[in-house]
Amino acid sequence: MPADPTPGGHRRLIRLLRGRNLRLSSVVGRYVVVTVTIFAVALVSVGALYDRFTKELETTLVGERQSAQEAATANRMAAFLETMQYQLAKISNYPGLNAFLSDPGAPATADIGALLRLEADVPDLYGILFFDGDDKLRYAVAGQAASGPPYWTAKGWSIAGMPVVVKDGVEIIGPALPQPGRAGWILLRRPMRESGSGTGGTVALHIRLASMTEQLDKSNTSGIIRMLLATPSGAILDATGRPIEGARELAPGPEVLPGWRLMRDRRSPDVLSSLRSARGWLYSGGALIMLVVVALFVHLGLRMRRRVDLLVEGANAVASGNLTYRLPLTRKADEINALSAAFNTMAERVKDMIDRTVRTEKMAVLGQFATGVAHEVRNPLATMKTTVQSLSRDEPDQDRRELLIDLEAEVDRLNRVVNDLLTYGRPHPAARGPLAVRELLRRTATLLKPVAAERGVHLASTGDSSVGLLGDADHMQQILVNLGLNALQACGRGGTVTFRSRREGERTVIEIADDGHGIAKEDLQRVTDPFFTTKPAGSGLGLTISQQMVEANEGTMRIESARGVGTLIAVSFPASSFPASDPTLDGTRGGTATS
Amino acid sequence: MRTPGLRPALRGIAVAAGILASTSLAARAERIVLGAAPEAAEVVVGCIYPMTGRAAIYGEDSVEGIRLALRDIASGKVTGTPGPRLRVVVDDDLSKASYGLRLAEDFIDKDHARVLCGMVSSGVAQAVSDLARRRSIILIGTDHASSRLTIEAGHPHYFRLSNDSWTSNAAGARYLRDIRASQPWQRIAILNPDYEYGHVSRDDLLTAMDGLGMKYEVVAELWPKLYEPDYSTYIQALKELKPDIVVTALWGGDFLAFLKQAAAVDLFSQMRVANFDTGANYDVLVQLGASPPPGLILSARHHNNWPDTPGNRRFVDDFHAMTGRYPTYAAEGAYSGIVAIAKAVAEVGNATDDKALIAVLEGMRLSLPEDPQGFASIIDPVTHQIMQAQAVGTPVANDRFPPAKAMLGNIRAYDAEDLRPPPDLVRARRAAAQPTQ
Repeated sequence: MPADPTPGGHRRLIRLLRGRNLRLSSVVGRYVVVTVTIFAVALVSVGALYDRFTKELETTLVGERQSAQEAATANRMAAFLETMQYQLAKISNYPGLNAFLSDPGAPATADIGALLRLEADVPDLYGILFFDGDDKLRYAVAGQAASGPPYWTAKGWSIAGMPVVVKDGVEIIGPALPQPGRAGWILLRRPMRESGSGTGGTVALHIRLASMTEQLDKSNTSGIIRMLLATPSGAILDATGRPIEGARELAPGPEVLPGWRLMRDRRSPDVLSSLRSARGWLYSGGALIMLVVVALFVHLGLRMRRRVDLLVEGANAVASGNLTYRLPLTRKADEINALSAAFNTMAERVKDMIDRTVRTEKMAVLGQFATGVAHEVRNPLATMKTTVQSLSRDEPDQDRRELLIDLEAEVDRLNRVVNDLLTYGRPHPAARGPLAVRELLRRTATLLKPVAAERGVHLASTGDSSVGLLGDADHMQQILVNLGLNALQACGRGGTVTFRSRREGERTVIEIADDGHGIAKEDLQRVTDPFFTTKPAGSGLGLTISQQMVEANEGTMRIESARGVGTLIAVSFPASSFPASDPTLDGTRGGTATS
Repeated sequence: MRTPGLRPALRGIAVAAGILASTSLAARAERIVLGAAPEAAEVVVGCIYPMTGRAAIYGEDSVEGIRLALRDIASGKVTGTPGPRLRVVVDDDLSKASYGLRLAEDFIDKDHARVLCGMVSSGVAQAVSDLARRRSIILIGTDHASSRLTIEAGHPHYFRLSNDSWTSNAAGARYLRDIRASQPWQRIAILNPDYEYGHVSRDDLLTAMDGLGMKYEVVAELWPKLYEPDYSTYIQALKELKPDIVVTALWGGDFLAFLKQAAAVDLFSQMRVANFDTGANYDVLVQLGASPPPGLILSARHHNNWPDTPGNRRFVDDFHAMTGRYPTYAAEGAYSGIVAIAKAVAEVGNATDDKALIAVLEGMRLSLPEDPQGFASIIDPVTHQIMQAQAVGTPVANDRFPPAKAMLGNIRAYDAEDLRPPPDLVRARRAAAQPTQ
């Protein structure tokens, strides 16, 4: 059962596959299910391991760094405030401050003014502010970061209502949170030494809020823990001095000032969100790959299904008797194509075997019949011939004697037919041995020469004279004479019959070619059938007996013919070497023989 | 009765007094005197620049710009005939207002300077401008940019000869408007130094954008301190905020440090970063190397490759011939300031009539390297701010000014008149200003 993330997913997949004629019971369907299952299990396992690793990583990193980071941050913040407090104490103790504040432009207090500007001239300070006893701003010395109120204008600037906490006699006023166009700030304020009990004047360092909050980030190298700063106003500040937005689960850390406390954001968006995001990508990527795999399998399955359907169709066709059905082959060297090729080969061989069996059975029946007929006819024929010969010798009448001679010739022809029948019906088994083809051809030529000469047909032999074959000598001779006679009879005067021999691997091929009238296409399939002939005086057994003998010698016969062009019959036998050469055929390779 | 803190306080005063007393000595070690000898000088100009720390390159280039201006004045290139004999004294303010004030007072009281010039930090300039107002000494600003100095805090004796934060941000706002169709954006974050210049730059940008009727969302305003050594806190915040564009007014070494850290954490692949006032300064372009981070939008108050005019080419080539390096924009600002002083003195005939000098400076037309063909810079008589065109673009490969391998390209230039603050805005801002002392 595949681990499908949605309950209906499995059913939808099944419907899809069925709709596409790809059932889960099919091999491809099972492959799909198994693959998706394995993939889903692997994905879930990896996801679980990933989650576990993430949690362990978080625990390890957070646990190891938390204490050190908190302590370091608290120390830095304390050190920063101490530095500021020291500077404030120093300024508050300057003698002559009241005189300076009474007349800041007076030459007598110019040095105090210069000293105050020097004190204020650091990037962390907006300036140094002096207040009277009613918290009303009395004078502002612009620092390096000074900008806007209260330095260039006091409009809208006030500390009324701001949180105030006290530590070691110093008021920490604020924070004033950042506003559009203006950064946040705090004041560290203490009484001026010279204020005594009279004026109640105070002096304050006007400090960048970010200079304080920047201390939060200094040791946050891992990005695992984000330190924040809770302020008396309730605002929680990040390292840039901006209040954080949205609810968060924060853990309280040490207090750095009364009301000012470090806060731990243990789920810093930095690394952990990356890990969570990576997990999401892992699942998304896995699901996507799974979809692609399913789609791919469905596609491949449908293609395979179509090709398997063809195989089934072919098998059904052969089973129903259509032995000529052949499967289409493609150029792909895949298993289906190999199977199709094997199917076609099988169908071809089955057809051959059936054809051969049918022919053999047919021949057996015919053989028995022919043998019976021959036995019954042969003895009367012999009697008839003897009688006719006797009659013809004693016949004085020339016309009658010629008729008797014709009758004797007909008896001879009938006797030959009977002999053919006997040969066909009782073929003697092949006694195979190595034979020299050139000797076979030479004898054949000798036997055929008279007929060739009588018909005015040129007889030629050519090819490799050194080849030999394994066969029965009598059979071979009869095959070649039969085929040669057929070829000569097919040719008109001036025609040519050519014997060609060659070696083809482990086979020896002898071709008998003529340029005679050829065989009609519709007759070509039947020329080896018993008693089929197109010749007026033929028995229709020559080619049949030849084929019978060819097969008895493990040979094959191939007939090609075109009407008006000629006929080529190629017989092929197992090749062999032969004992002694006989130069009488033609003496050379590739030579020509007689006519 | 002695308070417990009295002894440390006295020690603190003694130390502070010692520091200030040594300021002159320390600064005098960096003191540079250019131009005419004291007895021959028609006017003494006291210039204050940072010569140490992150901003030192601005001071060094300003000195060379002054040197080049004095050469051009002497050769008659400024006024047609050899101009007035100026003696220019330059000293190091360490980028601190307290030091700058002390230097300015010394220039007035000891060197008898009739004119003050310089200042890179708007914080220092704020203090010195206030002194110039109180002492009625003409102050020619050449590098600081807070528009507050010419609008809310403007006074008759203060002039500025380099583009200010309003000019740059007005150009930047127009650039953002113009690219919006092809490069949509909506969310911006401000990352400005936490001092006068940074705050005013932010106000100028948003006011300019509002004036153009642009719709936008400010997702955050971040205020790292001046000379912040580590921007990782702010870069992390930007990565979490995911604005479309970060507009920053960090400058000099601060901007370079930010660029290095931002590139290290691949910030530029997530958002564009724009710096309309100082981002295309030559030292920034050098650091960008052959492959600037993607998405940078930059501008500066002067460019070595824009405008491609004979005047700018001559200025850049002369500076290179004199120093062996190419100038940052500070050089052109200082050059412009000294040229303006010389031109005013030459026109008035002496340097003692402040009213006459001020009258000449108000509306003065100057042909400066930064001027495009057919345009001359003009000092706005209302704000005393020079009005110049500004080019905004992106860094592209360009090795014409080695060792920089990139210079500003894909430039969109905005006319000076379009970048002038609207009169209503100037009036409103001045009306809202209310000094506390």
